[in-house]
Amino acid sequence: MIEFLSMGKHTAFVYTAYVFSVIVLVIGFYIPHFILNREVKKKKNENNKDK
Amino acid sequence: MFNISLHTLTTIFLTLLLGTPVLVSIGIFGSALTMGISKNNILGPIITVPFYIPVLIFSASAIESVSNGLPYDLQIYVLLSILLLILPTMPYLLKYTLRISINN
Amino acid sequence: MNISKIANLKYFYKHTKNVSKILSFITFSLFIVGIFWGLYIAPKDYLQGDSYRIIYVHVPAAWLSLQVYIVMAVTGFIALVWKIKIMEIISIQSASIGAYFTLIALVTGMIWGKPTWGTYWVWDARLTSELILLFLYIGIIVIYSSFTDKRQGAKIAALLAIVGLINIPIIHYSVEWWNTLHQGPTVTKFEKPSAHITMLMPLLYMLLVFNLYFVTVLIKRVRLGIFQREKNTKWMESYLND
Repeated sequence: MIEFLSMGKHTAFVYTAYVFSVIVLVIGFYIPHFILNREVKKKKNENNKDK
Repeated sequence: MFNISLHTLTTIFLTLLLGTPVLVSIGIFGSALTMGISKNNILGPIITVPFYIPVLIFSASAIESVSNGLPYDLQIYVLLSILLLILPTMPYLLKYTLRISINN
Repeated sequence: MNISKIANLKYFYKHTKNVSKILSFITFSLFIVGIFWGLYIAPKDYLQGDSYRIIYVHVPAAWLSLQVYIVMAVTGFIALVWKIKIMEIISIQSASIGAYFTLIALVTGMIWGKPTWGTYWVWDARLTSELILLFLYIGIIVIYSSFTDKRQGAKIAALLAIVGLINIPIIHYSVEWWNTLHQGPTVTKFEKPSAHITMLMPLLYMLLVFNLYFVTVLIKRVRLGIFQREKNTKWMESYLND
């Protein structure tokens, strides 16, 4: 199994590149997700407080 | 003077002549963009410097070529073409930018 | 579909909630498939061995970094001339996404450069202008956020984006115009592509997946932008209450 996953002498480079890209893309996806949820929650709390 | 040959000196002078109006125009554009923000903002230079880079590269390359005795025509032509492209379009661009910035 | 309905912020916000979830799921699944394809199924390269596989994230990221800039500049232009609000939001939000793509392109390029060229960085035309592209993206984002009047900020940011358009042909044609360390054009040569088809397929697939990712994240970000603008309006408050 390890044989299959290895990339020869450039293993570290390939995996670092892929892991970095995936992390950045996932972070870029979840930032608007969390900010929107947080702001909607804040707005709903404000509305409930005013009531 | 300065132990630089006359040939190199004239090339330096030429690149300065061609490059300075371009740099000035880009600088005006950069500061016009950031005029509307608070007075002590540092954004103007940050926006302007990336636009300076091509002009700087070509000028430096021209002077390096001439001091090594290599042909430097290409760099001078590129600097000239940048100047000729920027000079007619900049006034309209600046007018538009200033109109947006001042219109508070 | 009537264009004025899409431009209507309320319509967009209400009707993209479920679309966003479905698109996210599809994007993530297709992305995982693409990574598996690129890493394990595509064959070894004759010259470079396995390190060429970085191409499957590096090239789509770099391509998208240019494409997103064009989207940003065009929507910025539309917002400037026709003053359509949703175009403003799309323009500003795609700046952030483009910056991420440019970052990925630069870093994966550096990681690829070390085993193949022996160096992480070289000041040639393409790398330098891609770095300038990153500065442009960051500059646009920073300039927009430092304006208190967001409509004026959007106009200034759009202006900066349009002027920076000159960088795009410099990046794209720099490998043709100058003697550079970076590889020449292989995919956009339409006569006879010089890469083997089994290596080309995952590349085109990843290009599509990255585009899908851009659309997905853009929709999420535009919803966020609409909420931030319209959170105090009547329709938003009644929409939140049910």
